[in-house]
Amino acid sequence: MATLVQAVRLALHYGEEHLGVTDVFGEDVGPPLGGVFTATQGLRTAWNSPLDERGIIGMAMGIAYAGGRPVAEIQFCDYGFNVIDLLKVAGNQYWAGAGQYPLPMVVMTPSGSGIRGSLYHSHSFESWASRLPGWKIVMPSNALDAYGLMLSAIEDPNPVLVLLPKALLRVRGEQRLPGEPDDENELKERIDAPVGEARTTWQPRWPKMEPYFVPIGKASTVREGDACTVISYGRTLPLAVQAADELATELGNRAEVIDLRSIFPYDWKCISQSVSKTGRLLIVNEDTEVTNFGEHLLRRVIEHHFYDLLVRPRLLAGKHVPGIGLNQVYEQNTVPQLRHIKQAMSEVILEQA
Amino acid sequence: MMTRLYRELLKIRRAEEEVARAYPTDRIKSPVHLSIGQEAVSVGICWALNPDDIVYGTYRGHALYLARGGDLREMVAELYGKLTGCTRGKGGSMHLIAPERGVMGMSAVVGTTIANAVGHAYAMKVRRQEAIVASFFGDGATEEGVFAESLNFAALKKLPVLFVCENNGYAIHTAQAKRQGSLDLCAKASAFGVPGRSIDGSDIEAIISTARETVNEVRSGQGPRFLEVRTYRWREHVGPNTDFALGYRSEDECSSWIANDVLPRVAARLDQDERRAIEAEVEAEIADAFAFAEASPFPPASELVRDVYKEEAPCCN
Repeated sequence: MATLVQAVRLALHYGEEHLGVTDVFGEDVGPPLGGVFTATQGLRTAWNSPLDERGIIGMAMGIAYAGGRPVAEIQFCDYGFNVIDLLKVAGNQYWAGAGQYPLPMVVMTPSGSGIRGSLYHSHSFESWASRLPGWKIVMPSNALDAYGLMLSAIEDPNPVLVLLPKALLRVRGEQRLPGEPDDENELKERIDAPVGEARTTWQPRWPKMEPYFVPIGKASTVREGDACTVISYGRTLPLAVQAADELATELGNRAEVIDLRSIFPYDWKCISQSVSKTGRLLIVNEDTEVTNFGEHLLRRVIEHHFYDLLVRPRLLAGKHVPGIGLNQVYEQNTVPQLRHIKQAMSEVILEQA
Repeated sequence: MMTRLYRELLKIRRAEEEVARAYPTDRIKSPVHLSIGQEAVSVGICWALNPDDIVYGTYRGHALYLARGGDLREMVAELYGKLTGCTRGKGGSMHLIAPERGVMGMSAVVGTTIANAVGHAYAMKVRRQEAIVASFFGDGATEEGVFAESLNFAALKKLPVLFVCENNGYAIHTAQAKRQGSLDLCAKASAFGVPGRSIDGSDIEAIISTARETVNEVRSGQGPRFLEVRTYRWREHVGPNTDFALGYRSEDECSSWIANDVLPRVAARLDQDERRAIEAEVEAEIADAFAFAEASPFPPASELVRDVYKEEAPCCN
């Protein structure tokens, strides 16, 4: 099966061939590297920008204004802070131009912890991004969703931010992408650039990919259950699934795990129905906890489902510290790990109503 | 040529004088940054542009919008915050647009449109379009990182973009000499590989002839060019009044620019009947635009959620 990052690459290839993508660009996005995480290797329209985040977003806007369909990469979302002004302007433009300037642009950026990136390669960005009206924001947690969300992002007429959980980029999917070869070694041999001398003349041999769209704004219920609702996305999603599976065995109580997939617009219907059913809610993400996007979901659940809730709803998030320290003791105590998620989940499930 | 030139310059001047006159009545809902004294920059540069060329501007943008043929009614209505304004009362004076005239936008966030102009020029070059992009900004914007970033990329890719620095000497209340270690803006552009020229903004014919030469260079694929046009803002940074009482600049400094005003010098080259006819037409047009704005409705509250996204607001219901 394709890894998450291979899925992104295949989606971008599909976008170039079938969805009108004109430019895939960013720092070291073009040859020879093809992106720090290899998301853009071998792509026909990939090119290297100057080391310049404001230039990247500003140019993506200009290309979109001119009728192009750019996909720009910010190498790490931590560098998105350099360019928050232009991200703000990009989200405003359609509205501020009274509907006269659609900006069909995609910005993708690796987000979150998990590669021992320390201070400025580990931040989360979804809470910041959720404060940029006009943007849609998605975050896949597996390869197939990454493929389907990327195609939807490319096709969307609005600016879309694709947050890629960097801890999961090399994780293989459990479902085959439409068009992906059966043999993962064959896929690797076809689309992963070789290391060393051979790279200079390398050309990818793309498999014939087929379209697959994950609608933006649609969550996925990955475990059904009635013991509690768990909402997560990105790196913490597979951990929440694992915790739910372990607790199902240990306690016999099945948690309902929702992969939100879209931060905005988010799937309120899915959340609402699940909370109505379970009366118990745990939200898990790894962004810092103060004015965390999960707090918005909590607020909405409390306002709409106060009388449906059996126990206190909770948010398990990252600690409100300046960054993630290099040593794994720092990292593992800053952002939720499996044991924290399992602990929080069992508390929500077991608390007396 | 002089006839059209006079009409364009006069229309901007008189429109802004009327804005200033109406401002204290609070009918105008937008803060206004007037270009009075700087009209020749927009008019002169746009003179050298083709109808399908693209411009990006600054929050002091009335002159650019009008010089490109933006609709006066829609501009005044926009200042009034009316539904009939060019952005339906959302952006106001600082965010005028006229897509049909290639006026892509202006921004209150200084410098941001420079990067947009460069991206636009990149897309046009890739598609081998003939049109070019003119990016207008002030002397203050040259201190923003995005100025350096944009010039670097434009030079690297030899993009069809004309950078126009409308240097009025002040970023709000701080003179260029109190903000910049080197005042030579052309040298800064040149350091990025963008050849630059500096022009006296009181000399409309010099602006036009230099703009034509420079635009030809850009259009013929020689890469980006930089023009500094030295000019002067007569009124306060924002608002309808003068601001000499603040003490950051002297009235004498302004007087020399007023003495060199382009408008009467162009007027003097027309015969009197022609001149009067133009003046009457311009006054009628301005009166019509203000009457249009007065009569137009304010937006209903439902406008608020329109155009947040291309499709009807996907608001998580």
